[in-house]
Amino acid sequence: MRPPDQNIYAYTEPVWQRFREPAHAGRLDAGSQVFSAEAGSAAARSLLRLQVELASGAVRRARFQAYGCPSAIAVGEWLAERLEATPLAAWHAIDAAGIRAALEITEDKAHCALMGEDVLRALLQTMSGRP
Amino acid sequence: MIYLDYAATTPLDQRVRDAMLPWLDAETQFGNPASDHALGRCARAAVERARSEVAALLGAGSDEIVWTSGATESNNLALKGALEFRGLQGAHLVTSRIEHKAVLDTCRYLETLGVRVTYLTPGADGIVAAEQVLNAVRPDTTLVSLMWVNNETGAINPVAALASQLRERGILFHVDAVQAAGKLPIDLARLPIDLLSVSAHKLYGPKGVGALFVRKRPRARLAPQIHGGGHEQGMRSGTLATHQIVGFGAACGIAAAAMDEEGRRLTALRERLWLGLQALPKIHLNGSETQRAPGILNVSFAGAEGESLRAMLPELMVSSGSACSSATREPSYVLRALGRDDELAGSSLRLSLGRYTSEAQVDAAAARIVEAVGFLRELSPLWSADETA
Amino acid sequence: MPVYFDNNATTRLDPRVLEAMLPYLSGPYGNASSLHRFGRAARDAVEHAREQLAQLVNCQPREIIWTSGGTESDNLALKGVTEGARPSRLLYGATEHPAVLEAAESLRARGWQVDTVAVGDDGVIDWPRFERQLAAGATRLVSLMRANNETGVIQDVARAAELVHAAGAWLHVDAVQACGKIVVDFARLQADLMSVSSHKIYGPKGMGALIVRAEVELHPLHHGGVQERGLRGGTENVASIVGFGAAAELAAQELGSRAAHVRDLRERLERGLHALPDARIFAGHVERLPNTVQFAIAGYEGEALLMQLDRQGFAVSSGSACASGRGEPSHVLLGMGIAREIAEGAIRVSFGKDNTEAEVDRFLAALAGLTRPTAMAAR
Repeated sequence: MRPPDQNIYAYTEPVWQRFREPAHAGRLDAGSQVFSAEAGSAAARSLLRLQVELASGAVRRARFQAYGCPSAIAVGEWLAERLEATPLAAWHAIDAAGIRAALEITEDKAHCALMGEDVLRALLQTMSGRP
Repeated sequence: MIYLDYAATTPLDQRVRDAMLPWLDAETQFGNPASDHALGRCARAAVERARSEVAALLGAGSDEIVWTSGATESNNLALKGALEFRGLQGAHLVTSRIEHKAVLDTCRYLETLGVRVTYLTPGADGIVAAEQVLNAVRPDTTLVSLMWVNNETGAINPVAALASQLRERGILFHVDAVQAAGKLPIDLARLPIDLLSVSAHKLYGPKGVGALFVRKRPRARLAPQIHGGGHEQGMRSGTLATHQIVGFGAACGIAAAAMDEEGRRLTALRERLWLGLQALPKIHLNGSETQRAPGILNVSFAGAEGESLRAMLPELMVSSGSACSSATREPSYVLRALGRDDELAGSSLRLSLGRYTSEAQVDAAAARIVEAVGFLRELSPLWSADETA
Repeated sequence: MPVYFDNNATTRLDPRVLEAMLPYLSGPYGNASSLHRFGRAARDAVEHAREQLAQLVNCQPREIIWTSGGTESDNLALKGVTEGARPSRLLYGATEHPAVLEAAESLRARGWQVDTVAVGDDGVIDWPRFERQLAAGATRLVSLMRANNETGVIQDVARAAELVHAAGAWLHVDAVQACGKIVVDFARLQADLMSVSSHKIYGPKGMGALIVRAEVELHPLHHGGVQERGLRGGTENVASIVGFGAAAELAAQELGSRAAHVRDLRERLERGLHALPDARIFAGHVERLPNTVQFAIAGYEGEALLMQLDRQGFAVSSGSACASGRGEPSHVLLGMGIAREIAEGAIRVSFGKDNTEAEVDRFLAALAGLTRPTAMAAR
């Protein structure tokens, strides 16, 4: 698919770039070092799945899938980028406010950033072995 | 750039524009149509010619056309005017849940004044059946308001069948014909509809002008909603915008002449578009397959969220619902009313075709949509779950 | 070419305004409320026009609600402020435009007490009486015009505003005729609501605005749609909004020169009228719009004179260009206490920026010809 060339609905630049070319979109096959989490719901028209594959205590790959508006998709892409670039110990510092600031998400799309924080918290719980 | 949003607004027809320009430009054509001198009479004559053109499209008499600033005002005037004239307290009104906001919001307002309103839910095909309406009317029912063609799905309501039945019961019948006028034949000489709203900018005329048909025999009486100099038989005051009205008249003349041919052409194009989209699995047509206005195709694409879908398609101008409700991001209330769940309602596109739509545009649009839906489904956790299930 | 002296009824669209409108009258352009590309361009144009009008009348752009014209603006103001409020009292000036007058009177049916604010024989508000009126009971809204459409009389609206606010009421100002002819400063007038119209300032017909301070609780006249913050539903008339904006910008730039020009024409006309026997200029000694003269010539019925003038190619009127009350003497003049038989002779000349001294001279000559004892039978 040729990415859309014009941002006619004026999404913020960080959102638009990630929406049109989500380099980390995809799904990791199940494995002992693959962890997954989801947040949101189809009925609310926003659903985000985040997956990481670990190798010797560090992230080897992060992938996301999203159903929702361009901001929701951009949140997934941004999280996957960050997780690949951030030491595990620093993940807890990533929150909705940080996501909003990084993607310049406006007030009316703030719920997308919250969903990003939710999915990351859920992922951390999965990884720590807690239910 | 492919414009597929004709149900929201249409481009001004070049011929309409040419008809309007002298009334914006010429030295002798700028008078106030209410003025009693030569310039006024000149403008007044143009307004009256346009009135007969609009009347002719509807099979109405010229003296049954009241100019307004658009369909929103027409709908407001019809509902508030009729109920205020007949008495608001305890009056009962029947309408549907898929009416345009101008009707629905007016009904909600009337409820605050003591009017009781029944909102009918359409069938899964988006049509309000005549029997539903007849079952809902009561001895105290003053007015039924039903749209002829739904703006989101194109579904056609059985207003022709209803009109005489409501007349027999002595109930006023208002029809919002904004999406029907110029697209389907309307003959008010034959159909006992009492009030009917039309808008110029949905049929290649200018924005900011509309009309309300107000039947003379038997006379539908209205309390005016805009008071002033007593223009428009006292039903709607305010200086008439000659150029706008002339444009509306010209647009109606063109629509009347082109209707049959254009209807056939748009139906064929719509079918071609629908066929092109069949390359995708799990798509749903919203609204009736058979009782449908020529130019409107509303489709839900499971797994592809509507806002992202539109963002993926910058070269297509399409709508995810009524143009008037797109400022809110709730899924279309119309699709919800005909039983679509939030997800499918939120993954819909309204593709509306018109006078300047070509086969090549339709083919290109179908190809782009198929591609974009595929991309978003690929991205969606739901879709993969669907496939593996 | 007819001589057009009826610029208070409507004005000819300025070619520069037409030029601004043309892009929005061609090609596919979207509904300003839809989200796609043309929609965005249309929305930007609508917001630019809002700024242009705000500049002319010194208000905030967000205080502007687009309407279909002055009549709708007046109706929206009066009905929108009274809707949902416990009925009390509403006052309007005795010489108001029919849009205010009839909108106000329609509110009686909703339980409102409706009274007029009296004017003197010069058309100016009778201030002592107005003050007593305000003191006499609770009032929700007072509607006064900035300048009268027939006589051109200018009211001291800022003075009224102080009294009205002290009485706890809102003030609506009908500035349809004043706007573009004299300085109309929404903030300085202390108005709460103000009506303006496009086609009186060389903009397109079918376009107007109501300016509303944020504190005013206003209900919509047209329900449906989210346009204009939910206060005025309906697809925006983009071309006309753009035209109104352009006309407003030109009016702001040219206000001084236009006013000076029409004032010269008015003085020329009035000098000529004084030379005619038995000509009377209404409200001739108070502050008036620079372009407006309303007069009568004793012994001559206005309608008959107008018809003769029309035949000779002069477009003038008796007063307001309204469909109702044709043949009836002006309620404005009657409200000023002018006798019926004199009011029936009223002729209004309203100049515009494109009128010339030569046209005034031709008009005076025609008038002199028509009022020679032999030219036309006196009543």
